[in-house]
Amino acid sequence: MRIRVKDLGYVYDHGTPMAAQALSGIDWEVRPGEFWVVSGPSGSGKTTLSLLLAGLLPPTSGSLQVDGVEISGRGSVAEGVRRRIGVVFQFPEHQLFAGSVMEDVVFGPRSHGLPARESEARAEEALRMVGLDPSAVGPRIPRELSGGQRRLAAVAGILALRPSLLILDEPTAGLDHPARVRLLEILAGLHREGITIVAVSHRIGDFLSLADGFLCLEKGRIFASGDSRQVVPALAVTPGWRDGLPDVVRLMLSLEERGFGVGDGVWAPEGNGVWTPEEAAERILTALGGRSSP
Amino acid sequence: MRASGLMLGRYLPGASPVHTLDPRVKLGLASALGILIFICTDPVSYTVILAGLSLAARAAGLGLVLLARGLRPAVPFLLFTLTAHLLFTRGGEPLLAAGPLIMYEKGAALGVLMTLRLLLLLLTAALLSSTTPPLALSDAGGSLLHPLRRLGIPAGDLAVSASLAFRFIPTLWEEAQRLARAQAVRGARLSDANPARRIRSYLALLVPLFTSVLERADHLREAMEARCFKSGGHRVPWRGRLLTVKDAAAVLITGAFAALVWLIRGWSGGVGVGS
Amino acid sequence: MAVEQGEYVLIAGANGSGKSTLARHLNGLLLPTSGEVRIMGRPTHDPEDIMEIRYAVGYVFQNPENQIVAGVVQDDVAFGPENLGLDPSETRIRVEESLRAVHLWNLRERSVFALSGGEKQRLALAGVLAMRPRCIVLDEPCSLLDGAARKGILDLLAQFNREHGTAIIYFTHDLAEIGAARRVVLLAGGCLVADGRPADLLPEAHLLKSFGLEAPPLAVVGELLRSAGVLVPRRALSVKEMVEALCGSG
Repeated sequence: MRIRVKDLGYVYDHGTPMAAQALSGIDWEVRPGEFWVVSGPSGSGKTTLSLLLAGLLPPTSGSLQVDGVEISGRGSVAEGVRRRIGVVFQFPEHQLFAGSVMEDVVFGPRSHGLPARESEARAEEALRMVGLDPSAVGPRIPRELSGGQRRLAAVAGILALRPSLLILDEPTAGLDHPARVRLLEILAGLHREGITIVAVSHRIGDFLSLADGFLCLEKGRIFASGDSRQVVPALAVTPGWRDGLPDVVRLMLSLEERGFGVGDGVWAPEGNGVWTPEEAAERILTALGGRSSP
Repeated sequence: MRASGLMLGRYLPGASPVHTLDPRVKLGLASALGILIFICTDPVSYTVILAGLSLAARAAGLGLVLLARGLRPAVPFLLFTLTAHLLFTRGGEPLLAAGPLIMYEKGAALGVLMTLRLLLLLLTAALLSSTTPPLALSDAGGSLLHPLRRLGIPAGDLAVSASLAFRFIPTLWEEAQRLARAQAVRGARLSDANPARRIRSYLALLVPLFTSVLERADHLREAMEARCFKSGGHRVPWRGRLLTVKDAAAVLITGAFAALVWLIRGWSGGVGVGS
Repeated sequence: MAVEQGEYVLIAGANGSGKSTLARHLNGLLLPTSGEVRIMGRPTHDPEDIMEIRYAVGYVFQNPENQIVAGVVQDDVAFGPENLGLDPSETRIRVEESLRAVHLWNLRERSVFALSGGEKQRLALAGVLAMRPRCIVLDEPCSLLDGAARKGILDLLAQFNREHGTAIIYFTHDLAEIGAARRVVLLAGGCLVADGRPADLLPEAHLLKSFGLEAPPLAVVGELLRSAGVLVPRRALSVKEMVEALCGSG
């Protein structure tokens, strides 16, 4: 789905002495099928933006359109668009309530008024999408699953609604390495299928090689925006942001600053960027080779 | 995400005269006001008390409207009280009838008064809790209840429990809101016409909320034990201090106010209901 | 296993490896069903000694939200000393000392609801420091924090360890949080599977993977460079050390 944000602002407790500007002057566009990451320190307004995007909060100023419709608007058109937006909240595994995983995943489609049979078909499809076997995991009690599996089950609960736009708040928070890799693979798969994805995360490093765009917020305003090669150099010169970049990226940046010569083309638009240890080692070796034989 | 500003139980730091009163004095005065609200049963005294609370809230730099906004979590409870009286209290003339349900005069009067009384009590609690740090409040409670120790009542533990409840009301309210949003996105409708779906919607909200409360309580117990908290142990509050002239003034003002309410009540002849 | 006074140990394992269970044994929140845990020679299952042990071993949990008991920053730090029955003047000294140590002194009058995640976790740390512990146990303290906040916590731990000789036992599933630890212990399936220096264990990507752990990316870079004949020392595990090794030798 296409997202168009123009001069968006949000103020909590509008009109009281406690009014607090959470967002201001946000201009942003997401094209259909793109995968964006919204990042920023706590209090930067990133979660507020996701709530606005899902139509769960009305903007206090500016406009936010999804597929050309003002998302917080009344009426059946806006309602129809909102129904196509799936939201995975932070720690979604805490929202599981039913006696079995299957029942929980079916809850969404059933509540949206689909017949039992179709709801179940969708639930099975959704469970398969997150790599859980419906016949093995479906009948189990959510509590019995591992933390990573519970999170996947909760994501399936949203996918069963077949969203065209998927919004996720801190999808990788608190997961260990295998579970995180698994979840990122699933997101990459959904991205390939053409679902528009917006993930809110402070772990920007998880997404550098995955996402099409990054919107970096600070104190409610846009600090940097663009693809990874545009955003990384901008973040690298600000201490708070730099510490949030992955070790490999910080290593490359530091080497570049010391004149080691790894930077040529790394961040340029035509370059590929260096995100993995393998890529980093290759760069360093090339630079060393170039140096010993001038 | 940011929880909206004021909330019952949320302390708002400040340097107003109300903030700087001794917590023990404040707790004592609030309790006295609570008793006064319970004794009074007529609309006139309630109006005067409301005016008094409004002045106190202004002195605290908050204002009554703001304080009232923090009571949102209590709204269902207030509505419940009102409806219960409207539906089930009989007496006086029937005012309105809808099928088998008849609303009586006495039910309406009592419902409104009881709701008002609850509202006043909650406002008093909100004023107290938003101007006093929870732990200071609980220590004050502990020291006021100290004499009860001789009767074998664990005053200190009660006080700490109370302060923890205050500390976690805003957190749980945020959590409830987050869950409500998450389930609403999945189509939960708490006001669905179909009773089976409505029950499921409530379950979808209450089951995880309940689990989370229990989990939090468990983590909190561990964290407190890890910091050497022992039930029935001897805590030494670090904010202990002497009473000041300001505290004495607050006692006098509140005392005079209570006397005023008492006089008005006598003068208006106790037109209230239920006493 | 044994941890000495003043050590800084990282204990790593995937979810379900028994990390939290082990951590909770270290100050008697859980008691062993077999074997025993001794702190300064005292067994944790002896109720006589448990307060003494909790006084000596501070504990920081994963979620800062669940370990803050008070509504105001400085009141929370005072909670521990108050439980110890310390004199109010002594408590005041400790509150100031601890809050300054974690750089929250300026926010002492703040409501805890107004703090960021990183600030909350530093507050939790201050609450533990106010007990002047000889050892701090941390159970995944950074897993909910962003990179900058994480760096803040790791730097503080290194500092306490260096300046006060406070022993640090740090539980995590992320080996990139190695910080200034000089010893790594690996857990898998409830068993201790490896115990050694970071330089020996962290570059072993295959071994770590078999335990469900990811080798720190920089250790992988170093290993790849070494296998190509570039002499990067195995102990170079931080960006700074790596840059020095490369630019020094370059």
